[in-house]
Amino acid sequence: MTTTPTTGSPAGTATRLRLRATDGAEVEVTPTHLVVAGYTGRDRAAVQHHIDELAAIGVPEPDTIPAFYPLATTCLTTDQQIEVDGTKTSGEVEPVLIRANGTYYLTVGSDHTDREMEKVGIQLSKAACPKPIADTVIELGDPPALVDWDSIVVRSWVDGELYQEGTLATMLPITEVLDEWDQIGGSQGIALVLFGGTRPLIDGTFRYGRDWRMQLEVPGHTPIELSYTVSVRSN
Amino acid sequence: MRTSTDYLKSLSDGRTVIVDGKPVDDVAADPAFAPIARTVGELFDIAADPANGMQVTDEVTGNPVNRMYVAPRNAEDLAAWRDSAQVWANHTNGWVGRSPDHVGAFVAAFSAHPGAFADERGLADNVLAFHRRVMENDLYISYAIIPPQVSRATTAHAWDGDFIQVGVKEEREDGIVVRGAQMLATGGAVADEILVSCIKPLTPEDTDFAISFTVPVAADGLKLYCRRPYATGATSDFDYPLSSRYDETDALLVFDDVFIPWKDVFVYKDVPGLRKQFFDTGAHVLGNFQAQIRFATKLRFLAGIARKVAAVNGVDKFPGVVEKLGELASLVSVVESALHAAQFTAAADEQGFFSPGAQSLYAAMGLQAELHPRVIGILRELVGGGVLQVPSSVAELVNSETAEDMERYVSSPGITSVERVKLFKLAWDAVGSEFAGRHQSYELFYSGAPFVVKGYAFRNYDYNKPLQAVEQFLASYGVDGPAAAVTEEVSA
Ligand SMILES: Cc1cc2nc3c(=O)[nH]c(=O)nc-3n(C[C@H](O)[C@H](O)[C@H](O)COP(=O)(O)OP(=O)(O)OC[C@H]3O[C@@H](n4cnc5c(N)ncnc54)[C@H](O)[C@@H]3O)c2cc1C
Repeated sequence: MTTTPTTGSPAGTATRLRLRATDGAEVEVTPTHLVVAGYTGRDRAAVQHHIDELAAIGVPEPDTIPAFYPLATTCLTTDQQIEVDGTKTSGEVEPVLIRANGTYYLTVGSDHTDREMEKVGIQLSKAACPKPIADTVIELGDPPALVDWDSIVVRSWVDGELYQEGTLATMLPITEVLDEWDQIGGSQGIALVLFGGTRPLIDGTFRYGRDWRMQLEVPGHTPIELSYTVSVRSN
Repeated sequence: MRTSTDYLKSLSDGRTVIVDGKPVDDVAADPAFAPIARTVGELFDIAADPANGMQVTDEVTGNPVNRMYVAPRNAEDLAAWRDSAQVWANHTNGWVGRSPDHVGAFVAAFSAHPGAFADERGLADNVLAFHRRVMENDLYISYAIIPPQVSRATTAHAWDGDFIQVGVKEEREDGIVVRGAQMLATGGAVADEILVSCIKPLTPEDTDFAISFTVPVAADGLKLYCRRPYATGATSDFDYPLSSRYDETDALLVFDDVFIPWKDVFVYKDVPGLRKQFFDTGAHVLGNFQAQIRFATKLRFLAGIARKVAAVNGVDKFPGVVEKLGELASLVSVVESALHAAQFTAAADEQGFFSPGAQSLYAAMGLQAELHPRVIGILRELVGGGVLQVPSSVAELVNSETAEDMERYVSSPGITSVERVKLFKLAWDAVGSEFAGRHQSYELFYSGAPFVVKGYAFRNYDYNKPLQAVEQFLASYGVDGPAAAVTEEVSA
């Protein structure tokens, strides 16, 4: 499986995303930055508790809370197929905020990650896999008017089975995550794609399936869907 | 989907339901509870048969689920939802108030508005997961959302003794421990879980009692104190055809330090959150839409008894009786029409939840305290003493020494004594038995005392329009108008 023009552009070539707004309008985005946020829980005490737990088993503490992992924009894809190297990779449904063209868009993406590599380093594990996003977006305007964030429901399925389901209510609204990033990354004015963090798995264990489906349901809107298939690169 | 066999089996779980001073061994086998359990089981069987049109595909799992547990998103959904509610209501002829679709409707609406439960603890996710559990397993949820009737002059914090109303005794890492009581879980003894909360307004001092959670009926430390069951007093199906099938039983819940894991907590020490769960989610509207569908079905059944009795007694041609039957027809139609109107004025809220029109719905509910007693009153009047001119039991109809008298003296033109007695015993179970008396109270109180329900009608009626009409009219004349001329014309 090879990549299409929207992904894996040769180094130096801009990744161009061809998207569609929910009203049908065509949206083209050429992101200059891709950032995946982690530890975006709204309850800071609980987040710290989780970090301490991880620290106890040797996972290094993040530099900031939320944590930010900048990745190459070439990781982004709207393809229905992705290729990975590891055999233990899995998706995670995340809200995705895009700041480009003088406006903001909301969509859904998968922070597809190599779980083996996670033990080596979070940044590495994230960079090891493409980051699929849906090709449909909700335009939020500028400043971004976030519909009732607490009522947004995200879901993911692996091989047809429900894997994650819940609201974004326990997570910092993605606009606040963006504010934090802007303070650290100082990236105002650039075309940014921000993954806003994920929520716990239903049964708490990673699954390394083939068919992934992600959904972001904003009340009053048709759910935004993303489906992709994972294959392990043969070499 | 779940069938009656699965459901009935699941009831033998060690729940503590107290009658006559001691726990019942097994509700599914006990004569007080087995009949209603059987009826509820029949409802599950009906829903499980695709031919009855109650199923819809859960978009998340692709599996068929009961439509009553899914929030309507458009007019078509709502119409199908109403049809499904009608299928169940028809099976009980409206005599089971807390069939699984009642609280099921509340939970469906909760799931369409998780933001109303949002807080840092992830309570919104708990609501979604609860909804999924109810929907995927066809659970029967009952609810207890009224503080015990101790004193209505004050609220829980001011009552003598700690934790009379159920409240948070202890907060733990993994959940909460609750203690106290709550009234009055209809159907609780044969439900899977009970939603416990408080719909009566609380004050900021009542924070410890401002909770909402679900609890398995068999939870350790939970006791259900049942009022006297009527099914056991029913000497036979024939003698008490309603008591013997539809006695849901009502129970006071007592929580003797019951542990509730966080996943089952939906509102936590949040006084405004209590009201939000019922009123910002549309749950109160959808749940009561179901309740009115059920109520209309029961009224129809009562009208049917009246019509038949009038014919059997040969009074149905008398103008005075026609007038009464006409009034009954009006009363029943008013409720049915309110349902049509609520459906006609239904609209999607900003969350995409298609909610029945509140003004029409609460209009019917606001009249229920007058309407139901009036229907019962007319029926009671039409049956006369016939409901007491019946033998003590079906035995007199079958014993050879008595059957002849019965046939000779307790029959009517064109129908046998058996048919006549059967009809009048049904009428008595609807207007006069203890079961009937309980139903009078039920219809008066199930959605709040009449003053509370009329409050809903008041708040959901747009008084601006009538006020404007009156203001405009008042402004159209003054002290120097042509009053004198009119008076002259009139007196001329
Ligand atoms: C058969 C039956 C089944 C029930 N099933 C359930 C159930 O499944 N789940 C559940 O949660 N609840 C249930 N209930 C309880 C029901 O919700 C309550 O009865 C109802 O909310 C009224 O509360 P109360 O009975 O405490 O009456 P109260 O609040 O004590 O009121 C009784 C009367 O006092 C007067 N009054 C009280 N306060 C005021 C006031 N502020 N202003 C004016 N007048 C006032 C009114 O005349 C009122 O009718 C059931 C009740 C019955 C009778």
